[in-house]
Amino acid sequence: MSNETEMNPNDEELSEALSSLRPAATSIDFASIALDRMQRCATRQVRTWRIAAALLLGGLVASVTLQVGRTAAPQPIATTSASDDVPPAPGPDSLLTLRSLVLEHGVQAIPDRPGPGAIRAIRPGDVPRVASPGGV
Amino acid sequence: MTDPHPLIQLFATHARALVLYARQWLDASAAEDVVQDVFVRLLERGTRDPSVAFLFRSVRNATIDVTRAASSRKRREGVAAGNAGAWFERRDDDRIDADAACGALRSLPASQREAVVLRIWGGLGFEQIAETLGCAVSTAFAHYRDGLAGIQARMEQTCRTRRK
Repeated sequence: MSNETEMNPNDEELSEALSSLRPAATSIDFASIALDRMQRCATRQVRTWRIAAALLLGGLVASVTLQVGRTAAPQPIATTSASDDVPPAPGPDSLLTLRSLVLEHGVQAIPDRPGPGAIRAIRPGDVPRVASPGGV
Repeated sequence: MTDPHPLIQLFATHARALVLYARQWLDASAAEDVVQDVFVRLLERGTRDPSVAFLFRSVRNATIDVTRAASSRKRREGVAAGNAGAWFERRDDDRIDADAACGALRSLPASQREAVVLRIWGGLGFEQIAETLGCAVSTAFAHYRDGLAGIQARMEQTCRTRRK
């Protein structure tokens, strides 16, 4: 710097002499203070991360639990057993029963009286009554 | 092994000069407290490599805050004169008497004393000194030159007194 060159030799000499003096030592142990602060800071960060991780884990567990609860709604459980495979026994008026009766005993085996809900067959005697004019 | 934190290295290099700078207004323990607080604050803010001029400026501001909190500006100006305790180590190879130099420094006006301490023991350039003191570079240089002249006059006076 140009200003520095303006110093006279006496000032230069005095400043050199003064710079040989060493300021008094300090009693501060900044290395240990810094180490302590950094450790505290690191501990705080670790605690923060632990809390964050715990919160995340809790949220995850809660969401999974809720989802499982929704999908596991009560549904009818289909059970099968060996007895279900056997077809039910045919009734006395069923076609299978009549067929087996006819095969075993002939046409005579067909019961005379039809069942209560059976349709009556048309007989020859019924024809004039139906065909006569004015007949009801 | 990992390298030490840059602030620890900076502290090891500049702590003595920074405490000497703070001692212009404060006693030894208060000056050390101020310097320590500055470094702890830098550490907490995550500042790794501040400039030396910034360190001196921070110490200056912190010192002013402390003295303001303690008492009025008048007291701050007065502390330097009555500030007991050695500012320098006494060594055999010193080219100048430490006590005499300390006395001469204490007799200077604050601005001149600051300029001399910042230049000689802080190692700052005049631009940085001007920035720290909040004045023009030419003014900072004038403070320094006048400070040296004042020290010289005071030491010559001391020598004459001793000879008598």
